[in-house]
Amino acid sequence: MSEMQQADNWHETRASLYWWLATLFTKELDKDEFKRYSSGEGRDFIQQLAADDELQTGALAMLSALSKLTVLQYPELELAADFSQIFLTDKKAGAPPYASVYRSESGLMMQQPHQDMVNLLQQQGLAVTKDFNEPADHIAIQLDYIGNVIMRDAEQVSPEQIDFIEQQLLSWVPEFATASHKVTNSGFYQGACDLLAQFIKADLADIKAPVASV
Amino acid sequence: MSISRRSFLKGIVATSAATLVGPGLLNVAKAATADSAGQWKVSGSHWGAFRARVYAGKVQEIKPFEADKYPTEMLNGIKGIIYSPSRIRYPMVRYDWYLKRHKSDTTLRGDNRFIRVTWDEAIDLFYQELERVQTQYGPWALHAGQTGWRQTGQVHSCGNHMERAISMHGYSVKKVGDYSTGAGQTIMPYVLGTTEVYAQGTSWPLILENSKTIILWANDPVKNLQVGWNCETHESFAFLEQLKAKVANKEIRVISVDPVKTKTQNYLDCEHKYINPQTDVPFMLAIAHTLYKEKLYDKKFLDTYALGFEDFIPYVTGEGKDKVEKTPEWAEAICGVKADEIRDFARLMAKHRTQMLFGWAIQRQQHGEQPYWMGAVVAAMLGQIGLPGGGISYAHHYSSIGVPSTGAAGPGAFPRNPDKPDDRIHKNNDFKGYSSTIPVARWVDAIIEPGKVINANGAKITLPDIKMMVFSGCNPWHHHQDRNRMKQAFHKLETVVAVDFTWTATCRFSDIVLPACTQWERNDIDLYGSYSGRGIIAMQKLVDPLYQSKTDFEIFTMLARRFGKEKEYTQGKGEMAWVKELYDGCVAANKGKFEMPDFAKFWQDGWVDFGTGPNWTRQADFRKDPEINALGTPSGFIEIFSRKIDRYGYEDCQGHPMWFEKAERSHGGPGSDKHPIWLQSCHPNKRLHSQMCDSEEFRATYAVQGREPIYINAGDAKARGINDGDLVRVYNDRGQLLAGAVISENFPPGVARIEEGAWYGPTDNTIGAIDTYGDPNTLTLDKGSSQLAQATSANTCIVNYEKFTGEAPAVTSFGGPKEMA
Repeated sequence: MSEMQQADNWHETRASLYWWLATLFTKELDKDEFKRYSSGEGRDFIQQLAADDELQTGALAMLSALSKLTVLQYPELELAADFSQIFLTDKKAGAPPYASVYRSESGLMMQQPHQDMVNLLQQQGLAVTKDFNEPADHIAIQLDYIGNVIMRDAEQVSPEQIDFIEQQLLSWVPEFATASHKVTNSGFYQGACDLLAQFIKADLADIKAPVASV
Repeated sequence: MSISRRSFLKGIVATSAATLVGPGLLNVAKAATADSAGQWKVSGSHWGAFRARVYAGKVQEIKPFEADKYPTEMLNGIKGIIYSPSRIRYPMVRYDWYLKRHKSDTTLRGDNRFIRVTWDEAIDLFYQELERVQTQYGPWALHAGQTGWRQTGQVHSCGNHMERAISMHGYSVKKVGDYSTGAGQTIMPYVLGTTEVYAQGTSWPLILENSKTIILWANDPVKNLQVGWNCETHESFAFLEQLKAKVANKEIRVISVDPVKTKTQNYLDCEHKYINPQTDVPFMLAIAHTLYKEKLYDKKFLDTYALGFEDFIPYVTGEGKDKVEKTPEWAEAICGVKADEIRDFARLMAKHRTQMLFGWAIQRQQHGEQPYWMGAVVAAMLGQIGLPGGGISYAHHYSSIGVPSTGAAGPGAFPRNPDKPDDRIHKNNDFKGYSSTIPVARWVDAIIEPGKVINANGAKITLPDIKMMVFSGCNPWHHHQDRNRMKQAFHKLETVVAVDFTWTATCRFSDIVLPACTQWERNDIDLYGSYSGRGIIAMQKLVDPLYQSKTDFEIFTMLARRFGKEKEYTQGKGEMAWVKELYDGCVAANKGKFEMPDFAKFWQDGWVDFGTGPNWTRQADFRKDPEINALGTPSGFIEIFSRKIDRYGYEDCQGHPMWFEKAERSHGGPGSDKHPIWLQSCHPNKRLHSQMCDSEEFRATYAVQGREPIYINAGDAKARGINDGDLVRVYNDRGQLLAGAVISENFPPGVARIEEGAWYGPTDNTIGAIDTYGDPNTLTLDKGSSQLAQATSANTCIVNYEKFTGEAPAVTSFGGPKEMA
């Protein structure tokens, strides 16, 4: 593949990874979706990620979890219970996926990081869909948003894009990933959180690094 | 060569993720309105009315409503309720119940994993269970009648929504009474003809003008008047301020009869009459003895207005069955008030105009009927009932009672009953010999001992075999007694549904949890001043329902839709149509008396002010003409002796007031050698029951090491090596809890207070597990007050406590369910 072609695909790859992660954190997998992860294109995809040095740890944990889950009677329900146990509770028991919880002094919901996201979305003429109805600093919303920005910027990574990944994501996602390990269950979502943190860190380093000369 | 962007993610092809990516979460929005500071809206609450500034979809600031001259600091906790981390964000189902339904492992309730479901699925499950229970069992197996303090707002009254929807589906077990005044409201109709606890009282201006002596009997109005059943006006505080001045000027003597130095006593700087806990009746019997022996009682009044004094007085003089004369000396040994002081007290009461003001905590003990009854007898002997500033009140600490009524009509409410009561989906109303109504506090008994027959208020109740319960805005894992006994009971229930906006312990012990929204996430209307009728307040929605929460109205409409009765349920009207209808109904009811603007103007202005009302004296009309204005008692007179109760033949509530020793009592009473401390669990100072405990920042203003405070005596603390701020383990044979010590001079030896409403958070779901936050109902006694009211006996509770050493378990009460290790 030529370097120009790689560049073209590269921003699409980045965006699709952000969006894929957004999807994982949006809601639980239903029966069909779980099947794709236990034995279909989902599993393949995570295996591809596992081949990447930066993303290996998280991806392997997810694969290991999938193997454990697949032998259970109701694997997607078990996984849904895992999701709930980690993300749908409060910060003492798990890892609520909202920036405010990790970045505000009080640790409460809807603090300044939430306000920042609301302002940002407003400026961009965007709003969260009624169906989702989560505070704007939910990880899935932030990941969805940055995916859009990446596609918009294409090869020309904007300062705004770097800024967002650094200030709005990297500022709390590592702590979020650590928090997910408070809970012991299949490990799928803990792996996903680790992968998320690893990805963002590596991605940021990558887009800030100078491009190798041809 | 640097790490190039091209080598990272090299092996990954964008398209392989494509099929795994779901729909986007963002869409195009309209341009935001230029609203730099935000919008001010008006709303109300149990804590009072306020204005809130909403900006960028968030409640930013709350300030007291300008008409409220005595706002409570609890307004500071409201934002914390809306944005609490304990909010229920989605419909959730207990995982094991989701898999196995009514055959789930019920021992896991309390700390089981939950799984999120869609609203449709949650309502389907709720409906299917109602169907199953009605068809497999019958109406006797479903109890959906417990109620709580709800949120304010007449359209969205959560209990009404639950009862209406469920009643349209089928019959179920209901309850009578409540936890606030179960004993009081049951006995007082026999004695003075109404519940007395939920009735307007003599106007404060008349008390201030005419009373020479005010007795606050186990009563703390300064604490309790911060909240109200409807939107609270706090008008009473103006009168309390005047009273404070009169106490200072020595125009009025106020005496607080109480083991504890109350907030009111400290505010008024008035006198204190210490009494041993639970011994008020002996004190009052000795007062009666003095009044009788020294001929200070009003014989003419008793002859004209009361029945049965001659049947009662032998009990006092020692000529009754027990042959014990209720002298002040006899009383002193029990109540701790010196005999001479008792005599002086009686003489003082008889000397001038005396107003007796009773609180409610005193009837939340075993034989709680007795202190209220005996208080009425003393008042009758004083002969001042029906005079301004005389007689007895049981409610001047509640919801602006004592503030004169304007006489204005308030808005009605969303109907609790179905429009066509006979037209239910399940018409079966055969309760198979079980009672269809039970005393409210005996539902745990029903679960543990179905079929048991108990006496209650003259009837025989056969406790039903409850299989399913539904709770709507009701938190029995706060207000019911004996947590470990409740855990046992919950092993037997097949299905529990809870509708609430915050993860109370009740929700944690439920199977299906439905997120309602707070009252500030919907439009509504309320009466401003439950008894004063000061006005009508608009409750303008501040923000849209957070997360996936819905209004109670929507939730139960969805349920009604399942059995095809949606249109009937809503009467075809949406939220604002209902708000307007209730307002218009109010306008019609006030026509000719109070001028009210049209709905649009009202909604814009935010309220209608009815002003203030004329002074009024309770029972004055009865005093004027007892024939025409007879009381609601069987005879129409004050019943010192009740033939009706006497005929019931109850050992623990007989024909006249009596002193009964308690099952457990401190200060020389039964059990006091092992558990020497009386645990008082009165209404909190910084909550409404359990509401607002989940407001994190506000709770931090009173929590001690993150736990509920236990107020203790300095000497008791010293003897146990406890310092202010230490963690304390409080225990008796029923359970144990951790609390934070606050040493206070307001508390005498042998007395400790943990305010009720402290959120239950056991270390795990096993029976006997220690409560990590400090819920006093982990320790209280679950026994009916007597066979008359079968009411709660929460204040008949003795404990001991010790300094807690070692690693304290983390508080588990807040933030939602968590799985057990």
